[in-house]
Amino acid sequence: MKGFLKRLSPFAPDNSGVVSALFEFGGLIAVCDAGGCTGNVCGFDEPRWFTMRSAVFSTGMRDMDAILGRDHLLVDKIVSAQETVKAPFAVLVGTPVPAVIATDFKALRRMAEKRTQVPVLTIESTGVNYYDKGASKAFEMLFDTFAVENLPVEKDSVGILGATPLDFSSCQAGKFLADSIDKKAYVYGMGAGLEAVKHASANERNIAVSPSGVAAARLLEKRFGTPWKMASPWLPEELLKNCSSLAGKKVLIIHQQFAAAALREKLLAAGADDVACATFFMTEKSLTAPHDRTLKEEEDLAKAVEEFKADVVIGDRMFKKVLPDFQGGFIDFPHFAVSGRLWENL
Amino acid sequence: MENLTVPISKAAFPQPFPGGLEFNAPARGMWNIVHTGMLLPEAHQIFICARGCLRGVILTAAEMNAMDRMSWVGIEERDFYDNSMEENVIEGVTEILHKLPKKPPVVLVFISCVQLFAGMDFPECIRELSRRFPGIFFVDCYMNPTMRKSGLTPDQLMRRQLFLPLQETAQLEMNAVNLLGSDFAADRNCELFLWLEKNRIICREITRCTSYESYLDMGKSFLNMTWIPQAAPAAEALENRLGQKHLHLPICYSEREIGENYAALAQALDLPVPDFSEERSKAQKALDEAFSVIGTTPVVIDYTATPRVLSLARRLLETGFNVERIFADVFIPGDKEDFEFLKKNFPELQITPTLHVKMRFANEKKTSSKVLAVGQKAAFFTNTPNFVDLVWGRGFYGHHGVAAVAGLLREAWQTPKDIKKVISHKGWGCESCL
Repeated sequence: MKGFLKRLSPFAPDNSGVVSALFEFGGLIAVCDAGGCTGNVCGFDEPRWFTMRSAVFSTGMRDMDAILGRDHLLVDKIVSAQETVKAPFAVLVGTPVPAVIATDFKALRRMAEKRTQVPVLTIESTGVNYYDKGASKAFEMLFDTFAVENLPVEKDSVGILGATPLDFSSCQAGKFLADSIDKKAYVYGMGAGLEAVKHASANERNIAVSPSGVAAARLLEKRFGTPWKMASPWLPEELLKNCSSLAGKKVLIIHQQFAAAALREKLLAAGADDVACATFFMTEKSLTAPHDRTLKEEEDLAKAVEEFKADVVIGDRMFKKVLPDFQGGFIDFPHFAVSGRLWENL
Repeated sequence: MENLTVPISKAAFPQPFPGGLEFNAPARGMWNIVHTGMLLPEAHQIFICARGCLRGVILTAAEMNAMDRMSWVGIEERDFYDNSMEENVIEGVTEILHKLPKKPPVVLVFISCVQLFAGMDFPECIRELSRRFPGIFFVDCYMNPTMRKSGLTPDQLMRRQLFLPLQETAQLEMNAVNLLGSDFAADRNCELFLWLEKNRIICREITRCTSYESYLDMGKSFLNMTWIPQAAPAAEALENRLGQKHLHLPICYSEREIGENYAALAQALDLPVPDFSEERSKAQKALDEAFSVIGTTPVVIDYTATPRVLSLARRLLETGFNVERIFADVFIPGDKEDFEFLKKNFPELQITPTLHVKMRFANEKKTSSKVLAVGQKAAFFTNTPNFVDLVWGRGFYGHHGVAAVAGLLREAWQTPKDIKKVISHKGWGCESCL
């Protein structure tokens, strides 16, 4: 049955992806919910919630707000909060209830922008899609709104797009990604803030480090001609150490596609017999090899392992629950959007 | 924080602060509906919701190492529009139950706001599932936080539905009572339970039931005691349905109110009013001893520590403690008397919200001088490692409960805690895999 999950926890939803992507840009982020979605986003999907003071709030939606469509009350709340936060922009994040009652986000944006006099990003996440879809929309809209000035290109400057703790399972991923590049790197959303976004046209090139960064990279290419590529330049040392003796093996990697593809390159270079990637999340055709799989239900995962005849599976250890009959090796590759586990807490 | 705060003398009752966008402080000790549902022995919980809603509830179960008691079906976007809401519930639950290694005696089926807004016929789903699985009791449950201000709150509703499987018996047991609504097993060293035992009265609590069968025995008790107002609708429903009498004996900290509770219970049990003067003295002595150690150190208390935050503040202030601040966004009707008393006698007592947007930035500064916090949110906002990890009263009651809180105050003042570690633990008292 579609949507049926018995052993895997649901993965981080799109509204969490939106918040994760925009967490460090200083905006006033209002999740359009009754408090439950915000509680989930901040309590489970945002590891920086305890240590960083980002302005993420619930709109405190109640049944009558939804039934009567009291958008003006929501705008009043945004205006009042903005008087305190004085953020350079505001964000309205969609959740299941606005999706069901067909909230007019465009109208909300116009009303809120008129009264706050700052840009308002409205991102129509629904809570039924995965985090990467929400993060992708958020990065794209952020750059579409703020990266407007065409500046002279700075030599050796690189924009890193699509970095979130949900993808990289580390709150220090921004630093690790920047350190892995021998250039001046701007890791948007994990180190580089709104000013860097405004100067994005000056980047010599951009790298989309996860599927969430692709839409923004394409937008910057179209708008400023900035060349870009897909790559995941940082993989944790511990993971590489654990994967050091896979020569001659058939390996299946389950993760977000860019991280899996980057690891595949390393394993093949080290003598692995064959490596396939499988993911529950968004994919780019150019990184997809013939054996690769996009997974929908949890049964698909067991089928992928069986059909590929993998000797070793690499993925978040939560996936082991779906593979009770698998007799091969399993190497843990935490994926925060799947299990909520960080490398630094292992 | 100061410019947000109002002295109680100028605070409005029951809501001292206007509504707005809401901040969710990262204090995770309070229970949610998953924790509460897990109290029902042998029950299996099935959630049919959007992924965004599922993520939190399932990870709650995962954190408490209870994934074997939880299943779920994710709603997809097309389900909003293709008229398949009822089918998703019926077929999803059916498939899950067929795949379980052992059929549970009771299943809690949860839906969320979206199905309610979409007008799903949930009662028909429950009827159909009951037809398909006659040996299983299905309970309709709701994860609908949008309903916090209309009718029963999700918390009240969950506590009511938790007792839906209890069945009418031919003869209620006049020597048995239930305690409803406490998330935590009551401290049986409390004078109340010793007195009940002495009078050969059984007190049943869901927190102490080890099997579904023993839980069903709660249907035989003639009286339901509730300690928190959130449990009152459960007791009222049982009074209507099973004829069990309801007695609300709220958690409180004043000698007078504790005495009134016991007098009411004695009357309901047709027993003489117990003499708890010794326990009363012990409680005051414990408070005095704590005060002799803590002295005039500022004390701050938040609403998650106890259902009766103003009652606790009043008792501490009357003992001499320097209670400076209460963190609360709204008060309950039962707080009214204490509110008026504090307004008149301790007008400088500060009231500070927890949900207000400004509270996101309120804990940035480290407290320079020692502060004693009671409750996780108070600890978070004041950044003090000296805090009482008290969540929703923790099963303490009566004079014994007052003495227990006094002991915790003294302990917290003497022994600092790791704030982040303690308040990150989801669901106080539950197992945690973290």
